[in-house]
Amino acid sequence: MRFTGCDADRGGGAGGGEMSNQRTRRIDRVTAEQLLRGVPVDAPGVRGGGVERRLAGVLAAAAAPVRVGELAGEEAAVAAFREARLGPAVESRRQSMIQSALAKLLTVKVAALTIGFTALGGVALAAGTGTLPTPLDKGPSAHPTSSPSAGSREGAGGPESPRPSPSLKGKGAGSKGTPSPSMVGLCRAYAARPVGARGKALQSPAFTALVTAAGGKQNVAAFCKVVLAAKASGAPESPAAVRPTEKPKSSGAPVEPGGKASRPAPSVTPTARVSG
Amino acid sequence: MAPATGDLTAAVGRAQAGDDEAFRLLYRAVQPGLVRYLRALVGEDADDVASEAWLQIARDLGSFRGDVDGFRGWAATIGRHRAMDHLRRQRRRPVSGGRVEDLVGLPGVEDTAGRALEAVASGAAIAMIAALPRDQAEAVLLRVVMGLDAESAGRVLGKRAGAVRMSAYRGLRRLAQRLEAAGPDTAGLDPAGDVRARGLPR
Repeated sequence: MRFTGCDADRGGGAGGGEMSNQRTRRIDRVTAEQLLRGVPVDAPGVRGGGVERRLAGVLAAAAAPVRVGELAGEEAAVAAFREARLGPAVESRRQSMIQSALAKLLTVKVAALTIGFTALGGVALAAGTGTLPTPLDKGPSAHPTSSPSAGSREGAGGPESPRPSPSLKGKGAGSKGTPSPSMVGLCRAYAARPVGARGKALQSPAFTALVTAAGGKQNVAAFCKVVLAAKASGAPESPAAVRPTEKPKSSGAPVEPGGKASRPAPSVTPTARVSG
Repeated sequence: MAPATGDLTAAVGRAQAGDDEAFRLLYRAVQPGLVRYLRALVGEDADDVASEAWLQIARDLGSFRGDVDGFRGWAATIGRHRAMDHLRRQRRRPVSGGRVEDLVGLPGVEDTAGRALEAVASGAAIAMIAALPRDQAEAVLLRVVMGLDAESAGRVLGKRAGAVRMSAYRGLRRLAQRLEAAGPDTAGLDPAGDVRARGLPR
């Protein structure tokens, strides 16, 4: 690996500025091309170590095997594929249905966003002044079974465990008998299900609070999208949790073909470098 | 193990003949890369946009001609169009430009080299690449996660292969700079980057 500066890893520290680094060392095109192709940095003839090795690590991670949740749309995609086989008449009708459904969903999202942000502000204010009202008084332990996956995630997630649900207040719907400590947790659990299994999941008592808060099963998807988006943008203290990487009940998810756990193929070439 | 390229090319043909399972195989092979690529364009909406893309792929598959590499490029093109439509609907700019602060905080990749990388690191790595200027992010992701060569990536982006190469090199250099700036003992990967690098227009 050729560098214009031939020093070994000088380890960051100095100067810290991007410009100074650019002057002192620079990845040349040959190196870059190898990195883009996923040639392992410790392959013969390649000088490992230093920043190019770290870069290779980042690229390998980016191309890493499929993550839980990434294939959530599989059944929907296959269903669309089947329908497309049925012929143009059905297809175009179906297409317009899908489009109008999408349009409707977007409208709901915008409306819900507005409500959501308002509600969040309200909750933040209330929390700040210590006047948060009580549907949450029951706490997570009151219903140990009601939302197992949400609970475990929150527990694992650490600091911000059971949170008041902004939406509970915001929607004003079903504030009575809403046991869940966390719409965020429920939404994560919901989102972690394969798309095809979500409708059924909502029939479970575990999701009753979620359905109530969303104002009906048909609104849950849009509702959760907003809750999770609001959570993501408004809660810097919550790391990594929005995209569950380890679903509590992952066995139900579509697994890679043939149970290929090792590296099921986000792309053909780059994954090979992980082991290298 | 991922299905071999030849198997996937065969799957393209079978899917075009109406085989559900072949289509499913293609979905599994291409969707992870597609959704990661789209993340650089539409952030958290990538899953939705990818779903829209697959609806179109399912509908138009009959008109596609080519092998699985061509299919990847075709899928990426469709995904990109859907992403642009999505952004137009939302009237906003593509997500891009994270902060360096987002990139600090996980043990170095050196520590994990040679063994399987954590799934969470994958999200952080995508976020880090997505935080590059958009042309660089797209070039790097199309090549690294979609597995396209510079020519194919150029067709997706409507650019010449040379321009794509240049963007990708610049992207890698900038990534390297950020890694160095982040310090010797971080890989520049932060699990939270998966979330926080989004929605912060440069």
